[in-house]
Amino acid sequence: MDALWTSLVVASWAMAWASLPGFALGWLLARKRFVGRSVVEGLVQLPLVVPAVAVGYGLLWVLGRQGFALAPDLLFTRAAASLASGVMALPLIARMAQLAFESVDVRLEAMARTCGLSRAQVLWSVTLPLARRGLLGAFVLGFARALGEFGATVVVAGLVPGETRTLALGIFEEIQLGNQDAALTLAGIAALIGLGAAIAASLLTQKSSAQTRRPEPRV
Amino acid sequence: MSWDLDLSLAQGGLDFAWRLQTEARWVGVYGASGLGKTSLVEALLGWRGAHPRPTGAVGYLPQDVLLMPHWTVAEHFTRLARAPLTLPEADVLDALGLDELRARPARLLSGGEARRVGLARAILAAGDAGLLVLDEPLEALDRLRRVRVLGMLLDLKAVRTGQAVVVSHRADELALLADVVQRVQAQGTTRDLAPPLAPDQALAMEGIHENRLSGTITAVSGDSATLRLHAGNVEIIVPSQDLAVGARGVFGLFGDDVLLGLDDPGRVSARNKLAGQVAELRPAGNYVNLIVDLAPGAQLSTHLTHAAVQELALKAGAPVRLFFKTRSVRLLARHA
Repeated sequence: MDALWTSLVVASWAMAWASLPGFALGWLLARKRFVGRSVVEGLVQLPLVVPAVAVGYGLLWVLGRQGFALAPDLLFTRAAASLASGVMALPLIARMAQLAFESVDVRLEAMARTCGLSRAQVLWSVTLPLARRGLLGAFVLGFARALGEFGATVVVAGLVPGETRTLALGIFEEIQLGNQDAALTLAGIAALIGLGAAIAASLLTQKSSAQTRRPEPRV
Repeated sequence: MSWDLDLSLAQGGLDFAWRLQTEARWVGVYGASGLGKTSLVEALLGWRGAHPRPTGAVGYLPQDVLLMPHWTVAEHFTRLARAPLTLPEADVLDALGLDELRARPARLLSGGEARRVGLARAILAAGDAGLLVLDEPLEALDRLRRVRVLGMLLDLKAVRTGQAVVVSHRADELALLADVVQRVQAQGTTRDLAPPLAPDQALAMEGIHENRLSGTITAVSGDSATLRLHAGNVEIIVPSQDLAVGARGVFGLFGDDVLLGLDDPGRVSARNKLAGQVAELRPAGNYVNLIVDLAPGAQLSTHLTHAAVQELALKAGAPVRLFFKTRSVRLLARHA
């Protein structure tokens, strides 16, 4: 259960720093047309298509002494594990947030602006409430993604019991040690959490698309 | 506030340039469906094309209404910016029948209810001085409701100082509400926006000549009521419907429904028999539009064929009698 607790703490910290940038990126990609948009979109999606170990190795270079040495003391701590799992969860959060914001009719936002609300008021009282369920879904799936992160985490955070030994790392270790029962138990817990998160996210996004209609602008 | 507008848009297979210079405040936009009337007003609001958003208060009722699905009806009147309005809010909500809907979430409203909420929101947001843009404001209203809403809009028009645009595919609605009518016509993808017309001219293009009679009900007896016109104190008999003594309204009477004679016709079923003098004969294609003075300021127009005008030797100044049935007079707008 130590591994579960470590996983929950690491994933929570990962979401604490990654969810807001993820939502902001999602909003940017849903609402803004700017130069280099495809580049930003590609960079955000990079962790999805590059092997997680490679992402972890990249982080190691950025943080560690053999690279840019931005924060060598961070390596092999919970903070490093949170950083790695957050980086891996970010693309999913951003993509789902983008879909959530795209499901909000821009004409509703235009109407709120025309009726005298400021941009910030429109975001706060129209866009965010209408995208709420989709954003919650993004958060839940992002959390589950962070919880199950292995490849990048193992490179920057290693296997420190009680510190960075998360569920995923624990399963790997138990398999290496030949402890079938322990590995199965941890894998079962991981599967249950993942399934729960997927179902919750699916329910949230389904309701959100039924709630917001998008009438076609008439010509 | 007069209009001085120079607006162009080329978007979505539409191409138009709208130059509008008029002293009138309420502009009707009139044309068949699919001609781009909605695009025109949304370009004016800065929702499409490059025209800047209007500064100051704006109220807009779009065709797709656009209520906030997560707000209640009342929140649409309290959470959005409001401009000062002389017409009491209660009069607006009462005419639109919105009192019992106040607590209802917008996403649970029917299409007709949502349109009424959207109309109220536009009126309250624009206030007295803001720009008010109404896209088909009377669509989806049943006849009785339409009559009440039209009355309220006329009361609103009487106190407003700001500009208003009313889009409609019905010239008779615009004849009541608009000071001038901008017709939209298609020429391929280009929209022809000729200088605006007087509302009755737009109505006449549909072949309709309708007298509009504003007055107060002074007596009700069974299914008929006496209407005293505000102009000239002329009294006519109208269907009573649910009108009570003191009610104010605007009634319509088609020129085609008014008979003209030189003498008393004897015993006929028409309850309205009015004496007057020919003021003007206006040839209009294959008929003549004859304007008759009933009293100072009170006129009625009727349609006659050229043959009838010749046979009766009608000239300006000739004394004539006009006859029409009670049921030819229909209630168009009822004030609160």
